[in-house]
Amino acid sequence: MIRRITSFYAYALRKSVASPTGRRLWIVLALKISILLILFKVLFFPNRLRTDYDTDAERAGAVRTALTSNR
Amino acid sequence: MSDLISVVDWSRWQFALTAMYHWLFVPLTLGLSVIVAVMETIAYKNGSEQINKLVRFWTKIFAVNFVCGVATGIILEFEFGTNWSNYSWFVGDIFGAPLAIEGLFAFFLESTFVVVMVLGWGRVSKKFHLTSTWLTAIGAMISALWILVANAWMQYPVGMTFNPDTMRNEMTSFWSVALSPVAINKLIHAVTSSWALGGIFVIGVSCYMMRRRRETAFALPAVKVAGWVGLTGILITCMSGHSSAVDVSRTQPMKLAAMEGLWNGGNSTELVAFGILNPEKTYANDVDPYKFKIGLPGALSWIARGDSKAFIPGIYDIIDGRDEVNGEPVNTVSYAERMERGAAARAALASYAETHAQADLDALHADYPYFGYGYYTDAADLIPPVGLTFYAFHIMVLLGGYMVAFFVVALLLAYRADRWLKTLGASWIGMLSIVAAWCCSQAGWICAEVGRQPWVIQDIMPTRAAISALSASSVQLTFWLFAAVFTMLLFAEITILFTKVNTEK
Repeated sequence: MIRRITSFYAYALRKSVASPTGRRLWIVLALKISILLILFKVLFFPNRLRTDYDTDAERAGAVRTALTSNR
Repeated sequence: MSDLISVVDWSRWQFALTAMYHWLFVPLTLGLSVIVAVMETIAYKNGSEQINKLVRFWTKIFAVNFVCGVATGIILEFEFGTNWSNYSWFVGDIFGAPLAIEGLFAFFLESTFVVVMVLGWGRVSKKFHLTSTWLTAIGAMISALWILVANAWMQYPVGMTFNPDTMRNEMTSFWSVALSPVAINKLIHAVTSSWALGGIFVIGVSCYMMRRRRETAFALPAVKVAGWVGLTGILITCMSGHSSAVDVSRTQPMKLAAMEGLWNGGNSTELVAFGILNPEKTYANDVDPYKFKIGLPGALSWIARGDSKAFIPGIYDIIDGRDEVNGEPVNTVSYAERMERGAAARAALASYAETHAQADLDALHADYPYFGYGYYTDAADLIPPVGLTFYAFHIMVLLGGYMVAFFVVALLLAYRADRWLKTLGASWIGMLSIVAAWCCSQAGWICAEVGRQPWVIQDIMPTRAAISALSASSVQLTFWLFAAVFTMLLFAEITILFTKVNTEK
């Protein structure tokens, strides 16, 4: 069963790159993943609370300070 | 303060840009998947080779759109972590569950079966293929459900309690969150309006194909199927829109007032069918809010409260705490009192952090429903942008009405006088209607999201408190980077789609 499923998805992959549209779509997908999901995420979109603080207690403290300060 | 406002504004622009780009693909995925599933069911039942070809063609168009839309929503989650970290932490528990279900179950279901749907022809049985197509459509709807549940909670926060130790809203009732009336109405409204958008897309492209490629025998059945699915969708959208208006009048009366440009409420309130707002109208002056309007007497009262004579509060009434249902006063807490109680809640939270005293905890919980008002001292700052909300709402309604007429006419022509569908005029109307359908869908979201400002979580957290400590320039940089990348991707994706429509045999 698992072999049949694996072989089907392998066939689907081969078939998807066989047509010009399929190849173009793979290129768009690869560009999107590399630019948006990898490049932007790493360079511009850190999870601020996760990177700036070590523990959940510190993160809660930072949010508390932000929400109770004058803004 | 001005830098903070600038960061908030740029972050909002960035989120709007990303969400609107994402929403170009989602409704077409939702709509096309159902239309293809209905077509395939017909082909399966009557064994028609003609319809089978149609299914294969539209499955390929669906696949192009599906791939183009993949991963556009994940960027929103990046923005939560970077730009909206306070908000992200504050709602983590409530958002975590629906988004985890969406990621693990719905997206997995959708992604697994979409491969069978698109590339499984001849490799799996017809029955399994049909099942996969329906499961893809259902998976897409379930994906939408959990995202809309999360959004609905922000508009109507229920089923949670705030824990000041963890600084998180913690879920107390999963079902209250998942089955809140706002979430149910949002799901029905968003999903069925997407069927209508998909229907218009299929009809528009089919008219183009009939005109350009003379493929009437191939395209005409698509017009019929898409016409019925689209008409069903838009009629349910209208009904759920009515239910949504009832919800909004109850849970977000300020949004309803902004949608109608209603500053002074009253009994037998009219619904503005068409109007131009006076841009000089502000909270502080008493100039006429409208330059021009055509109203339907008593219609807003009837839509919102089921009685054409009912009282509908305007912006001034809501700020003053004046509202009534069946002659009884409701929502009587004025904004002045809300701001006072919100400030008290914030002070109690700050004090609790120092003392951990029960008295502070009790004070916090007593005034927590108004927590967000504590960030304001002027009620004028609590009014959403009336112009944008008003016009977005009216564009949505106008185009929604046009879509009903479009489907009725398309179906009549398809069954009685299909020669008209092959004309240049039909081709143009079809293509322009596709643009109109997207404008309608986007206008609906603008109305829903701008109309609830300044709240990111209704009454509890304003956008300015949700923001991370960032500089405006860093958000501006990523905004323009996104704008450039999205424009390039959109251009590439539209080119692929047009090429497919023009060349597919």
